[in-house]
Amino acid sequence: MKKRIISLLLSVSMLMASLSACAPASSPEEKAPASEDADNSQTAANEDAPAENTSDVSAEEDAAASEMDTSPITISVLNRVNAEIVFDDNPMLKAVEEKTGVTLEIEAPPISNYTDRLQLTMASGELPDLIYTWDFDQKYEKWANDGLILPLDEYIGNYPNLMANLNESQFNMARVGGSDGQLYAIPRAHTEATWGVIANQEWLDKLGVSMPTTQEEIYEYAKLVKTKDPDGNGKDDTFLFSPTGLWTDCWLVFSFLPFSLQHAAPYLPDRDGEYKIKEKMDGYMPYLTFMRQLYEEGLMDPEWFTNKYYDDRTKFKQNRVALLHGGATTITEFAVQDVPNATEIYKFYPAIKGDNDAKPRNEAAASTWGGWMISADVDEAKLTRILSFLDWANGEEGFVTIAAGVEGIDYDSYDLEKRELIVTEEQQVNRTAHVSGYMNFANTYQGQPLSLANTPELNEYCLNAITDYKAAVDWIDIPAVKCPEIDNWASENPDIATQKEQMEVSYVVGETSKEDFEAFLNDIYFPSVADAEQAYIEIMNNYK
Amino acid sequence: MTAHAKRSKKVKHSLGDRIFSVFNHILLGFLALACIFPLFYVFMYSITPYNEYLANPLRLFPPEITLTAYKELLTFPLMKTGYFSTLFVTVIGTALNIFLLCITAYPLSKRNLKGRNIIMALITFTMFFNGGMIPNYMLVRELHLLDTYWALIFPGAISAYNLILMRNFVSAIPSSLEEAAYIDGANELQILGRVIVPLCKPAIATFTLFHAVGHWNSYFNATMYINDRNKWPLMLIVREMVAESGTNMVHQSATVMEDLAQPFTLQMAVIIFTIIPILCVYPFVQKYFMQGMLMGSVKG
Repeated sequence: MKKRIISLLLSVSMLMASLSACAPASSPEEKAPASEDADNSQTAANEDAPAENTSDVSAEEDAAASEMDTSPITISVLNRVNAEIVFDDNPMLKAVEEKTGVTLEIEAPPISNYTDRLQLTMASGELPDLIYTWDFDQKYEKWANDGLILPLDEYIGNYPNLMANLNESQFNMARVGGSDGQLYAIPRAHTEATWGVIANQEWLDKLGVSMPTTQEEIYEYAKLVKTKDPDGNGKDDTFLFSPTGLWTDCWLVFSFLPFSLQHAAPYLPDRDGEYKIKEKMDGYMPYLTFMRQLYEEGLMDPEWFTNKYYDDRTKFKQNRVALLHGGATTITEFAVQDVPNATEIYKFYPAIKGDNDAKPRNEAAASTWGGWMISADVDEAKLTRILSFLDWANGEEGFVTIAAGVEGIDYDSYDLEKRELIVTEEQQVNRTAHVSGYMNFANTYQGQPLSLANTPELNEYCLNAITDYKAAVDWIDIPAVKCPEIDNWASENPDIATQKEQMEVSYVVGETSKEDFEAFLNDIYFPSVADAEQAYIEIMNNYK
Repeated sequence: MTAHAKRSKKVKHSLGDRIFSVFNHILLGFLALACIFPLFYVFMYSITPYNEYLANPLRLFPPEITLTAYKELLTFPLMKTGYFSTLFVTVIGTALNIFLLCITAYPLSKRNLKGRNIIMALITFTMFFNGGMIPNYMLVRELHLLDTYWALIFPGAISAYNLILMRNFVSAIPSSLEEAAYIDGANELQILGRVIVPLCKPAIATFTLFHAVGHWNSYFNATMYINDRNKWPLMLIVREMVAESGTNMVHQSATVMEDLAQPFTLQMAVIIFTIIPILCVYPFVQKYFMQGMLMGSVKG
């Protein structure tokens, strides 16, 4: 009898164990997708130039604030927040609660797996009230079409700060099915990009030339950098630049064709006014041929292809290359990081001009940093509170409170006009734990970030650089149009897409002839992309 | 034993044997070097300033040493809680894994167990199929395990593959030993605890190592089930650091930017940091591990 009981107990425990074994035996690390590659900082935000949106909304804000319901309410939020942030007893979150009555219950999975977690949450059916999405992509559209999140068009007109802090292009980014579609998220306002080039000014002065502004001048300057030993070490070991990819350095690409990422369409017309895919643009082959020439003559870093993220910056700081792809705040970042005299030895310039361009170009999409979706499960009353909160966060008080933290704890003083944030060392430590670009509900207020640099001098330097830049360039807005056929073509045709990338590199480094490259494009690439190309051109012509 | 006796036992090797032995030593030495070299390389670059690495990526010894990456790793705010979480999950999780493994493998090794084949089929089924990420998440949520260490321990507490190996190992133990214990008055639990488990030490040591390494390196379940940052395991924190260091936002604090390691150097340091515990444990379980490597593969 005793034996039977023991056997029975063992069997039961074994059964329980076998049920437990129903869970995956090994953790699916291998399935984890690559982490999102994002330039994710308030510092990064500073890389960009302020937008033109300077409407005075203070009166509207005051009115809105006076009407704001501040009764206690808890809003659950799924957000992508960096690991340093501490949520318990966070003074910034307490200040938010005091001012708005809103207790933010933040669920913040690791940023490296945020996309997985977001999909999991959306699929599991129990959604937080407010959900951050990094992308307005196919998944976002699917959630909208599946009714998981709320359409917001009919509401946003009631919220003056939202309407003032976000422009139509930014809203369009979050529309489902293109700019005519419904809005399903409140975009997180971000600063616009200022694409240009950082030059080693000491080298320019030493070589007795001014900053090149055309392709020919760049080529001549590259030869000088290669042969005239600007770093003075007695060796021909200096190069014009060291890109981290063929299409990263838009300061050069802009002069040949509208800038676009590897497989994305530019959403801008070619110089002749026609919409084309990148590979059919007039400047496509000349650009690659120019790069080929630079490579062949040893004028660009021969090791460019092995560059990892930010290696171009390191090589630039090491005085190995003359030019670096960057933005208006890159130099002040260097000054803060590891080149204290960066503002004296480097200078920021706009992109070089194309042959027929009157001014250098800056092509910039409406700048958003993802957006805030609202669960379809929230009732009308809560929806109102959530939108009121987002409205507050897009106003002056909310923006400063969330981005700067609490005066005395996280910063010493703040001047909104000058965007000047004064912070002591101790406060800087507090800021690391209390506030972050990830925590913001808006990264910009009236088109500008909280601050441009961390000292008044650098802040002023930055402001001047941005002002000069904006005066010098032809600012071209990339419209918020979506063409899923062209946007998703590369992921649906990975073999050909990868082959094209390899052919481009192979052509630039001289391993493939122009004839072979063109034959590949004509025989394989263009037929494959034809349908997507047609859809893209139709959409763009309709938009035009 | 006297020196004379030792000498008399010494085997004389022919010239051919000696040449073969020397050749073997050289070959194995090279193979050992080939295994050690990547580790050495990774360690060297974890202490090499990134500027120096870029200037000469093939240099073996750094002209100067920097411990910035290790400093950054060890001073990261969540490091203490991360250590605690990982140690807790590794110790408790491994103990539970081994307990469940023993208590399950033993009865399953009995040919007279009713329904044995069905149970084995069910367990084997889980080797090839599982509910998937979303159902697992919903299951953990419904069990109220979200944000608890148990969410990192219970799912996968039994590895079907390991269970099959263990069962084969137990089956190979002569049944006469159990019968003798039974005649001496031992019950099933006593037989398991005093006869079977001691004889399974090589297998248990091997599985302990496997599970402990698995728990130590695991981060994915934590990304799914743990929101509370104070419960994040070490590997998740380290992964976050590497992920963030790829951007320019490791810290908001601009004043400490100069103390930050380059992503590449940090990655090298992370590799060293994560393999150290295993390097420390491995020598102590190596003798069992060598025996355990063949377990379950030969029966009789």
